[in-house]
Amino acid sequence: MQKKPKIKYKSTEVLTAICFLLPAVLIWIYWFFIPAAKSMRLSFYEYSFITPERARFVGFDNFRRLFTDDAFLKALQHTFLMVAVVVVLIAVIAFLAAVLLDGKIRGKTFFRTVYYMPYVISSVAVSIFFMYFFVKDGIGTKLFTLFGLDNTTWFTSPKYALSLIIIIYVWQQIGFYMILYISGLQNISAELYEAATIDGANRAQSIWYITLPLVRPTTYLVVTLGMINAFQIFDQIAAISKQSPLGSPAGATSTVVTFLYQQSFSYMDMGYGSAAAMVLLGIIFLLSLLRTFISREGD
Amino acid sequence: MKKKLLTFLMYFTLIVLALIFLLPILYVFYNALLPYRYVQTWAPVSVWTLDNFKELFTQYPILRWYWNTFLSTVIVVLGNLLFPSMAGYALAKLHFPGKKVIFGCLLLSMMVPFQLTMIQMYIQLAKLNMHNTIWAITLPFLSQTMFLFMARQFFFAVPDELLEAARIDGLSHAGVFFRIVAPISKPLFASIAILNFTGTWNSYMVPATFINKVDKFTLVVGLQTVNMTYFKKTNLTLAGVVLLSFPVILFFICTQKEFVKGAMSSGIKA
Amino acid sequence: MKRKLMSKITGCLICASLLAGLTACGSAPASDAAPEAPEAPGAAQDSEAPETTVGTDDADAAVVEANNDSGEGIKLTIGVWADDESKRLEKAFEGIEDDLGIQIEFLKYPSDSDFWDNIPAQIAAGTAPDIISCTNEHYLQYIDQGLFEPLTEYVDSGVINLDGTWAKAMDAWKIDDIVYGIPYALNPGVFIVNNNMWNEYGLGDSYPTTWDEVLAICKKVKDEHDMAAWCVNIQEYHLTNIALSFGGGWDFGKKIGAKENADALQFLIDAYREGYIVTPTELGLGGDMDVMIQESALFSTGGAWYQGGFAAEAPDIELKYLPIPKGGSGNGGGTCHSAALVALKNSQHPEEVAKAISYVAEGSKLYEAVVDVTEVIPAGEAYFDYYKEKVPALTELVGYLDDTTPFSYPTQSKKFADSLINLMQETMFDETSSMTGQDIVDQLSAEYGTE
Repeated sequence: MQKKPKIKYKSTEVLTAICFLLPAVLIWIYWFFIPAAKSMRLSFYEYSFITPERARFVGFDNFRRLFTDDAFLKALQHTFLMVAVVVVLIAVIAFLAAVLLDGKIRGKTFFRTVYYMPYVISSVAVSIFFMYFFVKDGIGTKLFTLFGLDNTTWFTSPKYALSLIIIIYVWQQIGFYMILYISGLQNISAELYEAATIDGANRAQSIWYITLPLVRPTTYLVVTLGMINAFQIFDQIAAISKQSPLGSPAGATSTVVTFLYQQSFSYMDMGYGSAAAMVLLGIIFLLSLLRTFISREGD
Repeated sequence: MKKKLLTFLMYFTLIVLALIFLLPILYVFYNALLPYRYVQTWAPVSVWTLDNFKELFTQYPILRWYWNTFLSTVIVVLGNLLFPSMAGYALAKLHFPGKKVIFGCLLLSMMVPFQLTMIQMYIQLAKLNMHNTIWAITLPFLSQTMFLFMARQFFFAVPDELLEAARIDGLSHAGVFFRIVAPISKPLFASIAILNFTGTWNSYMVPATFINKVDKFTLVVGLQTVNMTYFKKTNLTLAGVVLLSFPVILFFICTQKEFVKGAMSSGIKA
Repeated sequence: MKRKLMSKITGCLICASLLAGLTACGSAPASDAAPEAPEAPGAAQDSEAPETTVGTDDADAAVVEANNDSGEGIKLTIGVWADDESKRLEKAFEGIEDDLGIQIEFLKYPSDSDFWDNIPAQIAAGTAPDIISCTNEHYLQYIDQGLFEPLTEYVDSGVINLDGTWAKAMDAWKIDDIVYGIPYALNPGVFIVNNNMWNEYGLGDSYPTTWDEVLAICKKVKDEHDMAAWCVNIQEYHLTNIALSFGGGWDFGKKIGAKENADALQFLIDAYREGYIVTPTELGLGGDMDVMIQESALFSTGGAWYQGGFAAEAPDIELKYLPIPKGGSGNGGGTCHSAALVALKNSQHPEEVAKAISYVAEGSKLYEAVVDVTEVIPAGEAYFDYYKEKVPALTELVGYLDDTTPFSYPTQSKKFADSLINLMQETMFDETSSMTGQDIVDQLSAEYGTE
């Protein structure tokens, strides 16, 4: 990050910026910030919406309780594990798919559509497929036994259930990030590639030396959005948990969001659920501070 | 020779990926054609039937739900094409104090799970008497931070020289955005339209929470009501999923054409 | 550095000006949509509930569904979900507008979990339905929260007449002498046998009456056909049925740690390890009924709802509805669902709610709808014969009622059920687990027990 030259702000520019930002920020404040602030305040209360008259200020009790709650610590662990794996997989696969689809190929529309389709189909429907193919002796399971995994029903196995969620999630979300990459790739002019070919670069080299650096804003977007979304994985877990408690089997697929949902909605312990969300936010905030700190050091 | 091999490899990868993405979906479509007792089994072609679709259309106000879904999606997508891209442009290209603070706040806010704010949002909506109306599922979602972020990242790639040239030609800052930048940002608008259309069309938790009147339901929510208390009609649900996904896929096919190569560089020459 | 500070301050100022803009516009986005609810604090008209200002904005809570469309009678809302249950309530309330001048509007929720998840928000926002139907499974946690309006005064004053309601169901809905719901449907737990398969496999003329006999059949089927005959959905309903049949049960938390419960769970674990039990998830299916319809198992615990499902989807399969087999010392029975009409708190028209409930519960309307639409036993004893006549296939079920016991989960029922399921899943699905039934009930008892 280079130091910005000191600029004087021009009043017309500032005014335009305010006008441009106004609708988005107003909507943000009214429909996000105010509800979020109210909800977060609850983390210091013992609170249920049904009986607000019984609400009680408890200070940091909810937070103290969280850090002694094995279920929460487990959920936290799952969340971070999932985010780490999912973001890498998504960024790499989506980038490669977008690059493949960016060249001159036959049936571009067909391939694009097919790659995007999983994102369109609801998680409930998708889970029906994955549940069937990852049962004991199922096709999916058999395939993975080739890599030395056990032949067992994945979503009843505390050992494999989380991996199944990751597979479903990545499979479903690739389309989303592929669109971001495709859109970002359109900004790279074809002339650059032509020039590179004339200079004798092969395809791999031009991807490495031209495409990758030039899509950096998109990569930043993909990684950040990928992280944010992965922290909130919920649909896929809810879909395979079906009638069992969220995070089945035996809490092996619980995440902070399923924990929050269970506490706030099923058990009606709103304050405790909010506290869980606050902890997650706090951790993410610290991580992003750390990241800026490190990248500054690197300069 | 080498080139041929490369082309072969490329198509091979494309097709393998396509199969991985397509097979589960075909399986869903296949199950949508089965009577309940054959769901999740390999059934002979002779029992395949369109009865599930017939039942949905005759027993439930599907067309009404389609219309509600369509209307709310269109409103939300229009909003998200306009507001976030304006704001994203301001954050990417205009100089004003406090840019980083605003962006930081917005970014951080995306990390708050929707499940946390949902109840308070509902209370606010009810206060305005907007629950059970289409406004409940459109107004709060007219400007989604994710698309603002996308727009900001996209506009970074717009060369500053282009903007300066337009300014010298006498355009205002707003004029530059609407007359010069917007027309060359088709890929951005296409991706916002596609992603937002899909997201809004398929969203479940929002309409399921904010709307409780059958004639105001969206398709996703309506299709969930076909189940019995202790008996989930998987085949009907899957037939519903087919009905649900079909318009989105169509929209995608039409819109993805807008991913035009080199719009930006042609803009510079102009 | 100073520059930076300055820019931050200006940034904050801009934010502030944006905020000011917001307040200036008021709730601009709303104004074109709907007439805005008056926001002045005094305008919150329905402050009949004492609003102590604690926690968050209770001013928010005092939102009004300004339904005072003058002249038109009173409108009540009824919350419904699943297709079958909503149809029977719609049928039961037909005609109330003509008879009582009360208008009924149905609020529909996609599923029961959607309803229960949304209800806190709707109570807080004042948009919750006036009446719902609830079973006696997880009701304690809602009663504990004060969600249900006591109906005792209307019962005492005779507005609601409960004579003729089956006594056990009434007991389940009367807690500490306060009536929380008017039961209208009964559903005893049963042991369901696929009779086609039973005959095909030549399993004899007498059906099992104890779990040991069931196990012997399982062994035979396993040896001869290499299949798990017994479908167990690892879910609180089925687990409770089995616990009760061993003479156990939860008794609102007082008996969780009982040896009978430990035995019941251990019995399941052992049978699963032997390969006699199949769970729906292992087949990639959603529930026990899917397994039974596809004939992937010979029997399962269940209820009267099997009848409707099989009639629609697999009419050729003949089912046998048996009492839940007995286990251990053997004096148990199954569970008894009893669905009841419940008045939710904060209704604006409590009187009319009571009248509407009595309107459907008193006459034959609700009971007939229960039988005709859902083929479930009505809670009025006088209608047992009507049921037997209309649903001949399920006549025996009426006889099973006497042996049944309510679910009696502890107060934190959802949490308890989730813990129970999690512990069972952990024990059954993790081959290395050495947890026993006793360990499970001990853990549960430590957390939820009230003895």
